[in-house]
Amino acid sequence: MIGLQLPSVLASVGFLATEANGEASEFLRQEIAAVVLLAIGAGVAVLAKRLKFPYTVALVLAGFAASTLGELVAVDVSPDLILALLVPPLLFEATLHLPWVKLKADLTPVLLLAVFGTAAGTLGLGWLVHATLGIPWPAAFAFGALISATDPVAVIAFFKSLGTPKRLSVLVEGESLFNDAVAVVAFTLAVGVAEGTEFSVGGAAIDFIVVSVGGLAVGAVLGYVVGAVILARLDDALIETATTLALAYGSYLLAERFGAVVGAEFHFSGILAVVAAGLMVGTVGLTNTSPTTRITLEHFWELLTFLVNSMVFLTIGLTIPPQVLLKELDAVLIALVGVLVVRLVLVHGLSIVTQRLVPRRRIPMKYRHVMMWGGLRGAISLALVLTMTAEVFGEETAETVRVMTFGVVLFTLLIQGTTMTGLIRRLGLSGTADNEMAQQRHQARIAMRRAGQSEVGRLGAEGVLFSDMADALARTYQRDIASESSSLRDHFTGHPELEASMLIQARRDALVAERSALADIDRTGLVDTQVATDLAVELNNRMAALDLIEERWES
Amino acid sequence: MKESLVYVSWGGTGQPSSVRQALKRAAEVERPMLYLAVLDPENFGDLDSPTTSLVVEELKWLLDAQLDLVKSQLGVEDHEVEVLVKVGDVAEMVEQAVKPIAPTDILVGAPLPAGYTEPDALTELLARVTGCPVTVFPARTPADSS
Repeated sequence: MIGLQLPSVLASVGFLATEANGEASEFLRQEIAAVVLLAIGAGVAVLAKRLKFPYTVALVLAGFAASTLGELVAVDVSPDLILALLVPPLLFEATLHLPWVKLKADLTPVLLLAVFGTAAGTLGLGWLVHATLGIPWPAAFAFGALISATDPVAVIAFFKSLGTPKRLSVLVEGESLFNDAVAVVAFTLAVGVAEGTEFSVGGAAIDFIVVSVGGLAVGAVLGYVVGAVILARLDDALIETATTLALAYGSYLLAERFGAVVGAEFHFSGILAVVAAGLMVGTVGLTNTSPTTRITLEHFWELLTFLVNSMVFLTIGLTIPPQVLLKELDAVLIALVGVLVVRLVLVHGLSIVTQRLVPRRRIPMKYRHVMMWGGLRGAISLALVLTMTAEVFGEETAETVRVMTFGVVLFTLLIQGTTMTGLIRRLGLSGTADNEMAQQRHQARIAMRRAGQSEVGRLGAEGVLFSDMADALARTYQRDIASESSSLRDHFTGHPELEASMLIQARRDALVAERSALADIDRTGLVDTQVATDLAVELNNRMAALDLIEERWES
Repeated sequence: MKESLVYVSWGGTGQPSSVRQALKRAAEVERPMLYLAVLDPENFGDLDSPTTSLVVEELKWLLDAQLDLVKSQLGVEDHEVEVLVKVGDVAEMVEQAVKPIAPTDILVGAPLPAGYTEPDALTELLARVTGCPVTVFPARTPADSS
């Protein structure tokens, strides 16, 4: 679990409760650690939004900064915490928003990259670090597997803000969801070999199939039960939301402990179980539940993801001291070059295979560049490498693999993560972002001038300004507003592609205003509570329908 | 509505530039226009019936607003246009919609993500089942230009 080293300042002012033996309780230490991390996360989120900097990258940097404070905010991360507690909600939320209709259309390239790509990456990178750094085979393949798991959190956030095509998002997210599971299975096999389990290619292949299919089956069954039986039949936002939370953790636990449940020594992939459960709920549950529940559920998962991401990326910054990387710089550089080259070859190579297999689903060259450079590494790689103990792999080997993993994760987050926006814009995949920014500039100026005009009117009415001056200023403002409105109209005429997104955004704003008006009416008691509730449901329905139109509309 | 011009879109609101072209052409030849939007199985097939009804209602509202805007921009505020939102296979819905109105032209302008649908195949199919000339407005995503 996360354990915060006791800040002496806080202890000295009596902030921390102490037990009879003078030591603060472990529970309180963990509670304070969580509160401090969340507070930092919230602060970083505000700053990142203002500075338009990638949130997850900002969190890593904040983690670095906090780690320089020494024991003040040092954390002790357990890999189990990341894998069992933090990863399931991240995967579940991502699958909820991955429309099955879109994923199904691109299942061939997604599975090729996730299964074949991860397997090939494991072998290729394993061979590279074995041949160049002399890392023993089991540890080399363990590294190859764990570093093949991509983490698209930061990249997907860019996609959303830049308005990139939905298909690109589906390809990147889909690959990541499935390759996490494949990487974990391959990693577990490599660790098993290091622990002395006999290895054979045939046995490994069978293990892989059993673990994967079993995980998918557990998740699919539980997801179907929750989606089709509970979500589709109940109409209670709180119960349904709580059920999905239980499903996300429950499917992971049941798959991982399936052997113990049936009294045998095997397990299934918990990660694949979560993915299957999320896809099932998103497909048969969410689309069959009431709009009010859908909105509550989406807000809940959005909040939970924000909290978990804050924890994960701050922890990455806190646990990777940059100076450690300098100790084994050659190993880090070899791993980094290997990761980039393997990613380049696999993305482009498997895209060509896709084109042969499914000509209609050709992956455009621009997409391939983004998929290659967008292959960031994060929480899964970090969690897996922390499970590599000195007892199994040897002190030196475990340390080298850990440093290489830290180096690759940091490079991908800090360098690839911060240059993605530029790449997407350069490739012309940023949708209408530039035009939208120009449009927003016009709109903001109009709103600003109106505020100025209103203030001038107020000063005139109160006699602070004499009326002739107030009128003159107001007329000047009016001319500015008219000129800006005219510019906005010209801009809009020149860029009709802005119309759909602007229309949808305006409609959403209007519905929010309607909701606010309804709340006012309800507060003043002008209408019966039942009438207000019915009208609120009607508004929620409209909002949910608008979300669906926007989500599925391809610009 | 006789001697109409039918504009077809699917998967959401129509491509703004093609909606403009369609309305402009309808105004030039002085024919009423039917703006047919189809919620196709590819994009909306997974929704249940009540949710689909909500989407139909909301999309109709958006398309009415979109048309109002385009009309005023083109200065054809009084031109007769009807918005119709249907749910199902695009070709079947177009066939159903055009049967009673004997249109002179069918204009297709939908957002076509790379590889999702084949406009040529659809054009031929629509022409065959409706007996009308069918024109597809270019509606390409940025990715197609690679």
